[in-house]
Amino acid sequence: MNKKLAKLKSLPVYILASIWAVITLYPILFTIFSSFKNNDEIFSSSTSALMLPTSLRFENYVDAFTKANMLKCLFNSVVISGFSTLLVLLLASMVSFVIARLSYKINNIILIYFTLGVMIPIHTTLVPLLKIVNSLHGQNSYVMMVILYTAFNLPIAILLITGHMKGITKSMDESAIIDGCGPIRLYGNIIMPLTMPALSTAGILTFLFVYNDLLFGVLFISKKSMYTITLGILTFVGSKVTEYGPIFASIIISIIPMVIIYLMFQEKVEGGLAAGAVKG
Amino acid sequence: MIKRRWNFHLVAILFVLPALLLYTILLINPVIQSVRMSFFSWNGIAQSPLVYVGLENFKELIQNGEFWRALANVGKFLVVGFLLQMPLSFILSLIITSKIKAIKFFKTAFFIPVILPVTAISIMWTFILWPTGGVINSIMQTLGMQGLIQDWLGDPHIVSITIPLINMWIAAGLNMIVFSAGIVSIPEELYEAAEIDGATGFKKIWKITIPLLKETIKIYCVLCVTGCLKVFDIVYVMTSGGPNGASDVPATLLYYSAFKYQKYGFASSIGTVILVLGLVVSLLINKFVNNDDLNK
Repeated sequence: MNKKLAKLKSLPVYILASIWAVITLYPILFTIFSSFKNNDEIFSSSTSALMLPTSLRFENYVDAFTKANMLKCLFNSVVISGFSTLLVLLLASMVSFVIARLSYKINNIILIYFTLGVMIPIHTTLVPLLKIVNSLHGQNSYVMMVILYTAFNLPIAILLITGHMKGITKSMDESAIIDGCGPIRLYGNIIMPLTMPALSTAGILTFLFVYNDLLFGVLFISKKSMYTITLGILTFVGSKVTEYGPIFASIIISIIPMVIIYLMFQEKVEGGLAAGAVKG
Repeated sequence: MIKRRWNFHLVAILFVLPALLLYTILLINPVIQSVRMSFFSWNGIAQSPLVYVGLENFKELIQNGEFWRALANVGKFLVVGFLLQMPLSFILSLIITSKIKAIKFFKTAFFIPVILPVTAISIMWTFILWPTGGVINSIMQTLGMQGLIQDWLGDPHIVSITIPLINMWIAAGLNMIVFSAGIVSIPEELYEAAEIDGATGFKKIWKITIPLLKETIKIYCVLCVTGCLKVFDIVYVMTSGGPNGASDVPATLLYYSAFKYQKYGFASSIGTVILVLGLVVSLLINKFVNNDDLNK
């Protein structure tokens, strides 16, 4: 096939690709533009929403940080997501180590038991969960949020990590044990370093899920100083605001960490989310 | 084989126990409680007792028009999921596995909605869909298509389609990756052989790609059905199930029954139905799927 013909043939592909790229990117661009506008520029005429901002009003971002307390929300979200991720990785890798590396007969049952967790719709648990949290006086507590998110993200992490650990050759363990290596060193010094790819996938997934979650925030957080980022923007929209620019600014603030993580670990995020979805 | 020593047994128990306890107490236990509670009536006050009501909650559920409407709305998510989102995701996966330039840019653009907080996306789209001054209606206005201007989230007949479409905007990128994992696993030689036999673009896709993606398509079915049953955030943020319950889905109905109307028994029965439907569907489809395309 000559080159010109090949180019001509791929033209429809480019057109299709461009159309969907515009559809996915334009709403984000619109939000960025609006985050620099004042009400007039957003609403004054029927087409003003489509226009570029006339000047960059960074004061909208200042407003978002001060009036909507976005900085504190961002901090809360990052702290809760970060600690949940660490705890999930620690606990899940420990379970996975036992399931994948120590040959007990009961291991398969444990794995199936944890697999059930990925199939359970979260909403089924809400009413009893609220009862449990209230009876423990666990409202508005970092520790409670981290523990809850950890419990709910364990199953998928265990599945991903166990799958990877099973693939590591068994002769590793044998020679290590002959050299007098105990179980904890076997886990920490030998198996864990070899499991890094699965750990990073599971870690990114957990962080994403926890950061993006709204439901547990709505149910278990009522104190303003404890708001997570999703709860923060939702209440900001619901409050009687007169300026819309800062709302758009807070949306942008909330998505920036996710965009950064995605651009840094692109392949990991794509593959991890797909694998996570398929396993679940 | 590893020689069993007492320290291995001890470590095994200590390693499994923390996760097992957390998971059992906070996930499995609530599920069991929830199923049990769907046979009781309870007002949410810790001191007041649970009253056994047998199948009353489920009876109410069946006689309750709202629940059927919520299921019908899940049906609309499914219709969009299969008629629009599946072909779209497939086409996107063909694009990102093709040999055009700027693949990386397109892939990133297509995938980005997947990673954003649904709350942020929902608020963003609420503004875009605003009846006056919103982007969509402004575009219609500018293009002279006034007939297509709608109250996208306020019209009870339209809202239950608008939200599944936004959901598709979010989910298409993820399903694109699922499909493309299937596509790249098809050996290149098959296409070369087909080319020698004179097969062209569409024919190759129709005769080779799609038949060989059978397993991936099954995976998509599970993802789509279980995903649609679990929809919550997007409806909660965009419309709170409104106007007047027109966009309610089972999860929002459960949420409002419990935490707004304090009908905890009734809410639990919704939870039980979602649970059973979800399990049955994934077990049914999983029975026919036994490959691990994406286990990397």
